[in-house]
Amino acid sequence: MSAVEAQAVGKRYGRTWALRDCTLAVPSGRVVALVGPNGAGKSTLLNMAVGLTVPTTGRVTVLDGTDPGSPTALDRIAFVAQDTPLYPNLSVADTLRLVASLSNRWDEANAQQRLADLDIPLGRRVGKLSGGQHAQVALAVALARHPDLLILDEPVARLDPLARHDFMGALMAAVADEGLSVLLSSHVVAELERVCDYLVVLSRGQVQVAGDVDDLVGSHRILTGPAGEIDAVSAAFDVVHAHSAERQASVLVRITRPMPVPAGWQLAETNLEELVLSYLRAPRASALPGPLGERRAVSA
Amino acid sequence: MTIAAGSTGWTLPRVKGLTWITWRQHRTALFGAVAVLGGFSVFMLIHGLAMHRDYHRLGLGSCGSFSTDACQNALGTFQHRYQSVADFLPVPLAFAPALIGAFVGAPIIARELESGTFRFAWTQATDRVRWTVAKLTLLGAVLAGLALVFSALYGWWFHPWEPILGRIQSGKAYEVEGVVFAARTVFAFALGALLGAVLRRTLVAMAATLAVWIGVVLPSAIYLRPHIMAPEVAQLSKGGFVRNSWELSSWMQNAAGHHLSSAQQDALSREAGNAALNAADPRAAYDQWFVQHGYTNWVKYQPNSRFWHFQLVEGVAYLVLTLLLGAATVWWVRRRAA
Repeated sequence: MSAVEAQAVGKRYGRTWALRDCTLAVPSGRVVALVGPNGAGKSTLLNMAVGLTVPTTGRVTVLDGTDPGSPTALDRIAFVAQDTPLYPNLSVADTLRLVASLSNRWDEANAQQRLADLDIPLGRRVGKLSGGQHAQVALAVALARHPDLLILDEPVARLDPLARHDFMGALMAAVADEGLSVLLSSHVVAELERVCDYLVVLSRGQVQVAGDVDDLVGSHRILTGPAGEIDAVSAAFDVVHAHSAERQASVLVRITRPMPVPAGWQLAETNLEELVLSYLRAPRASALPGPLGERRAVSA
Repeated sequence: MTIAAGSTGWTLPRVKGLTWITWRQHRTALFGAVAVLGGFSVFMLIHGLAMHRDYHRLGLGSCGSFSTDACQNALGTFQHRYQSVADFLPVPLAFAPALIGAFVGAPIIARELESGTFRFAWTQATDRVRWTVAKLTLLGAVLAGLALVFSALYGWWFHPWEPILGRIQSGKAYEVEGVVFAARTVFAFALGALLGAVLRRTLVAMAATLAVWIGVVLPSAIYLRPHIMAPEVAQLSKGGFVRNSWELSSWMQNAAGHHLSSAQQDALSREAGNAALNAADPRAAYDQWFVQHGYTNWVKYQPNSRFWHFQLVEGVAYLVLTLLLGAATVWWVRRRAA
């Protein structure tokens, strides 16, 4: 069961490749975070999944082999694009009516209830809403279509921390209620940990890390110890990223089997944010499941 | 969505939805088009009522070919009073289709691409081809209807002039009456939609629409239209003309049938003038001199009776162009845009 699959997908704009030889399977029934630095190809990949962009090479399928942009795919996938575009001159009520007019499975009561809970006035023009309300309206109309898969491209990038928190809260509640699959891109890693259960890290147009969040966090540890012994430790472990300040060294390692902790070193748990940042700082390291990539970890 | 589909099947509610969306998103542009044509219409109503009243008061309706002196005098009065407007009004109106078409057509896709809202509009359950086809056909039909009504009103306003000026003269009523005005309006509309999709900028697309429209319409009116039908050729008395026709060219020829250059004509005029100088009636003698020497005047023209033939040929040509542009726009949105 896959929500989005990419097979050797590439996209070239002029002479630059936004995405290159990208192979990826995003499982369905999960809340998947797609993270990576700006320009990593996240938007390109998501726009391909909703049929707005056609790959230069390779093939993207959605919902177990459906072509993106086909009637089935359009009907079952809702998309909240970057900066949550809506028509600024339409009222909230007219925005609902517009989406309803284009939908087959529109749930008016659901949309009304959601907006009422947020105290968003139906008569107000979308252009006059605050950034947070604007994003909430975009989310509400997407959810009221009862999609099987909801794709969001940097939905909170421009929101203040409070609005960001509220938006993620609304998204989590909807996931809990409706059990839909979610694919969410973001470069704001801190918000993802409480929402997402599957992580894909995209870097320079290729997949660097893909896996269950718990598995990933569980299989990585932080080793701290004397900076002078860093080379010896690096030789013994799968090092993702090593960092030393003064005499103290801190190394994120990947543990696939029980390993003895070197004398004078301490082992600590890591978290999603630390893990993502370490991989982004070490673009040549990767952690990929199954046959996709051999289990390798290259020291940066 | 809330309207029952009934026996006509499932497409009815969807079309209702797109109809509403088209109206909601483009009503401002349509109001603009109505305002432009409405402004001219109000003027034509007020001016036309006075003009029609004078036309009947002067008795011009029963003048036929204006052969009597009374009719000539009445015609002179009427022309003095109203002809400047009749000559001027078609000039701005000839360009109205370009403005209206660009104003309504260019934003349809350009504004979505420019503001990023295509990512919202084209990822709904209704695909972007249906979305585009609905907007093009609905707005195109509304514009065509508005333009036809306006052309009919212009036809009423211009009616007194038909026996005097004719309707077929290029650059005059011909550009506003009949079906050519409406066909050029939808042509500009479809052109605006396609250029908007390709250029992705509303204002740039509007300007490009005006430029291309002028580049197509003016040369075709000047170089192609005279060839829709082979023109009539007629011999005229000196100084005569074919009333209410579209005169393409006129010339003088000698007895052998050779056309004379204007330098040759000037030389002949001097010769005839010298010969007529001492005659009892110099004017008649002057004209008589040309007849005696076998010189004749000719005109090549399109008679007014061909008005509808010309209108239909030209209207269908623009309509075919419009359909091709519409198909290209849909293809572009499906394949290339976004």
